[in-house]
Amino acid sequence: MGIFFRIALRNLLQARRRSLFLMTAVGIVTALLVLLNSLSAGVSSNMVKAATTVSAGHINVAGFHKTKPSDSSPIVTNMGPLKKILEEETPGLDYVIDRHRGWAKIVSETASMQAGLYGIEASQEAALFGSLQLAAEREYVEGGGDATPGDVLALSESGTVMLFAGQAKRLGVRVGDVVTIRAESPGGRTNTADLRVVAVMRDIGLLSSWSAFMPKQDVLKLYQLAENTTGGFMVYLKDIDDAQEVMGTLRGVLAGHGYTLMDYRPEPFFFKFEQVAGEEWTGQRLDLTTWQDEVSFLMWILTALDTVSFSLIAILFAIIAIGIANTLIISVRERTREIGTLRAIGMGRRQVLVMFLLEAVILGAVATLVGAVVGGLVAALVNAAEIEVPVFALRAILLSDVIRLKVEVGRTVISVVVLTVFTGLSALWPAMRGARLQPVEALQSIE
Amino acid sequence: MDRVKMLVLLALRTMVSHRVKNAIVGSIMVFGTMLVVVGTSLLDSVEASMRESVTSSVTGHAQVFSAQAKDALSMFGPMSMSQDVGEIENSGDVARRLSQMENVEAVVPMALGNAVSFGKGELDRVLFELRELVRAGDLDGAARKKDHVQAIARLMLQENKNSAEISTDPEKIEEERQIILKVLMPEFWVGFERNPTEILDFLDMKLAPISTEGRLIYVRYLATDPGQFTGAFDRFRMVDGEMIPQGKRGLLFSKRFFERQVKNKVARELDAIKTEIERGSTISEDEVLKNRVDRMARLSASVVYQLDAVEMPQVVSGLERELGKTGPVETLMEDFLRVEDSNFARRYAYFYASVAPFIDLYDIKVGDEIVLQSFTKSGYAKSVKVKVWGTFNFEGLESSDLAGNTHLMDLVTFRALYGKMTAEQRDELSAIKAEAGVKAVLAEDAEAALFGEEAEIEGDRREAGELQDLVVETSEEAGDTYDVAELKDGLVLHMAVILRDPTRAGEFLEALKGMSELGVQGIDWQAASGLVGQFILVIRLVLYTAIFVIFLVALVIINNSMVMATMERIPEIGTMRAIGAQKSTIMLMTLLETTALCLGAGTLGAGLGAGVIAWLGVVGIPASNDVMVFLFGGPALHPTFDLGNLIFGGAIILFVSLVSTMYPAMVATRVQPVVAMRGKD
Repeated sequence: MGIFFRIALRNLLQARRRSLFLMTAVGIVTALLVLLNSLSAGVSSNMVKAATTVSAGHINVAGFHKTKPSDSSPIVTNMGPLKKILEEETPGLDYVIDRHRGWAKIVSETASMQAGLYGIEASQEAALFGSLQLAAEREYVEGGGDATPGDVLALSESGTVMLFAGQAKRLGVRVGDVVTIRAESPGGRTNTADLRVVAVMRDIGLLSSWSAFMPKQDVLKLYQLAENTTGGFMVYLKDIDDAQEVMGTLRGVLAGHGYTLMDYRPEPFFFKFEQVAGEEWTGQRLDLTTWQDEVSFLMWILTALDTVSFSLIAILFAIIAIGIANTLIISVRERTREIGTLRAIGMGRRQVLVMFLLEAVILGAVATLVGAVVGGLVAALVNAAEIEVPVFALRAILLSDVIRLKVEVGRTVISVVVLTVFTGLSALWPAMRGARLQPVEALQSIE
Repeated sequence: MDRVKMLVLLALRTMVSHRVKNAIVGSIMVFGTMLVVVGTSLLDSVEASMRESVTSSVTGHAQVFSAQAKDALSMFGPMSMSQDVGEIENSGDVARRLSQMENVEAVVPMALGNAVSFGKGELDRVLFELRELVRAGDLDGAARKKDHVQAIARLMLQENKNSAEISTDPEKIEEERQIILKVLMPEFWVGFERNPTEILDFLDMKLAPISTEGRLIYVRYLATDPGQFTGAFDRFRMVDGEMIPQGKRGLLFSKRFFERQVKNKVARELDAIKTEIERGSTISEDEVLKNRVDRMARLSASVVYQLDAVEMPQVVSGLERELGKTGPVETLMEDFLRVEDSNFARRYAYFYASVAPFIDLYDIKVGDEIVLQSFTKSGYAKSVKVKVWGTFNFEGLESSDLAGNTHLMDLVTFRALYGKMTAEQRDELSAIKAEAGVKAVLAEDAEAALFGEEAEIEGDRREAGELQDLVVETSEEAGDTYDVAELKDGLVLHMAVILRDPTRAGEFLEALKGMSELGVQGIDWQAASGLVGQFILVIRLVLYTAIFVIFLVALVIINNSMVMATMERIPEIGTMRAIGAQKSTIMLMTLLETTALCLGAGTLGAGLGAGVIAWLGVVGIPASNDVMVFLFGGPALHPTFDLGNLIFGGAIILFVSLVSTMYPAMVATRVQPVVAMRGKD
């Protein structure tokens, strides 16, 4: 084997120029694949982060309460016993928190906007606060400085609210200003509350423009809800990958405790209002979802991104395969005499085949490795540069205001291996042509 | 001349002698050209379809809105739900100035906004009917209606129990419970035949207010000058009812919304199941569809509930005939709705022919008056009554939810909702102020004056919550008719501009920038169509990037093949140089060869691409979801190509080919005549 390796390497080095060209092409494609993968992984990680901190737990135990059949209030009544069950009977549980969910208008002196409200208990929200960062004042106030005023822990006091930079900018408010929240209940009642902005956080893509956080007790007052109600429980597990399975277990557990469960629909709760309002039952029903269900309306982004990556890489590789085949065909022709000699002194057909394939595989391996390293470096540079996404629609797709790439080792290794194998495969036809040569014919060829 | 002829001959000869290389390089070129032609044609077609459907339904060729706007105007999609695009107060002046511009054909005033409407509750409807019967002296009929009232009261008792679980005010819940219980007791109805008034009053004053109002409907409206709108947007089609007459206030519902949101629940489900079956699903195999049928069957009450004593027997006997069995109406209806693949078509037809006529198929009927409620910017609730004149849709966008959730309204109703006064009201108010003296204004009025909203305050009908310190409801008693001139001036939020020559929209927007004294800014239709419209830009960006990368790699590969081909021909080139060929000749020969190959491959590729598009144009690409319906401007896209796409594809491939030949050509020119003499090896 060692000898084949040396011959292949020698050939590659001898045809330095064309080896270099082919390697450049393979390298570009590998780097591109790594970048596209890291983009997809970046979006996916933004999604997981946003989903599991801002809008959902690993498993969400929420539901609807209907006073009359046409209602659909996202409320869970009599929360105490339910919380106890979740805390005691969830396998692999890390912790459970609960939040209220609402939809309201935020009014400042100069502007107003709609937003999803989360009524939180600050003491439970260490994970949320840990994943969000205070925004520098210049991000939302014209001529603001680099200071990051605000304190998320102040959310434990009544009459406070935490906004995102985009919202603060739009409302023209800064930390310390007062905004009015106006909520409409399904019955048509309207209540307002004046809240002091205690923190303005950095945007985290499109999801952040729809969410604001305020103390739970204020939400209860806003909607005039009883103390023992909540919007839903967010159950966090030690291992997020268990979510689907544990949800199944919890369904059984809760049904066993006499709760009525809604049929499983893998969609976020706000997609369900219409269906729930159209059903005839009244009272309380629970609805269990995983974090993926709650962001399922964003999943198409990942699908689209991966489809585009796949098609692009497939097309590129088809072109490269043609190029490699072409090069090797010429190489076989140039080296006909050499092959003849090798065959004459006893080399088998199979070994000739391996020799040519090895040449392509070495070329592929070196090129993909270099390409992957370059791709990784470019990704690191892009991340370090914190490039702002210029087009709003693109921001919506990437779920972030800056381009964030995440190079995953596993995916990169797979890319390198797969591309190297494909490089080898594209050499199969010319290699077979070489192997088919009769020693006599090969020796006779003078050209 | 001879030189050219010789060069061409040489190039052709080499092409033939290097068949394999040329086949490979050629196939890359064919593929590349095809990709560019298909990709750009598809994208152009999508953009053209969308432009066509969007500009001729809502946006016009450009939209103009206040320069002080906080958000960029967006007329579709999620961002349009909560945007602040400022106000154009002097719409008359702006419209006049814009109309004077040479390319402008029409300027249509607009205001996009959101309101809610509470569908009429069942109790309201029954009480109204009861009163009518009493008035007509039909006491037998009235006695039958009282059963209906009691049935509703029983439901209300359950609702009361449910609210107790979440309410913060147990005393109030208990008080309401007593009222409902009273109505349920037989003693309450004693003497109804002799003196119905007292009982009716109790029902109206005590029971009706407890009943939580009917279903909440979100009404996203586009207020405009209806007459002008229909003239300017030719995709607009009336479906039911009539157009809002000149000078009348009114609302037109989008047909899509009407069918999807306002229709009876059972009928809606039937329609949805029909659509699924038409798409090829079957109830027996599709689990989702099966669940849907079950759900529909459980909704049977929403039909049965509406039948009165006269209609009931007719429907029952019909159902008995259909099902071939007898039983209580609830069971019959539920069995009837538990449709299967074999009987779906028949039952669908039967439902619409023999059941639907007895029920209110739509919660809101054409000709009804509905109350729209909305909030002004500073938090005042405003409500206005408006008549529903009919339903409409936009041709091509009938099945798009994105386009179908906007309803058409007149500007006068909008202004009443928005909280801006008419000239008349302003006069009236200043008269009142002069009379009462400014100091005597209510606290709420002061608040209103502070925010620049001075509408009359009728009084707070709603219960104030603990935190309710700002909201005051005002009910605008806007008249049913108005002077058409009011539409031509006054407050609007934005304006659609229809151009004579839409290709010069850029020019119009440029010119608008120079008219800063109007205080407005303009955007093109694509920006105005919001996030969805911008997706086209993103797709285009992705496509161009992909084309760029593909050609970059193709360039390397073609270059490589060419270099190798050149290396093989070094002796030949050396010979040519030895017999007197100049470097420039060699260069020209090489380039000519590539050009010839490229022309052949490019033509083939463009032809293939055009063929693919032509084929797609015949069969059509179906839109699989709502966003695609919107992008395609209809249920399917029939792409076309134009010469531009072909030329673009050809030009790119020619450029790439020539660039990739530069290096091998240079290698060729550097060959010294002497190598020819050395021979091979």
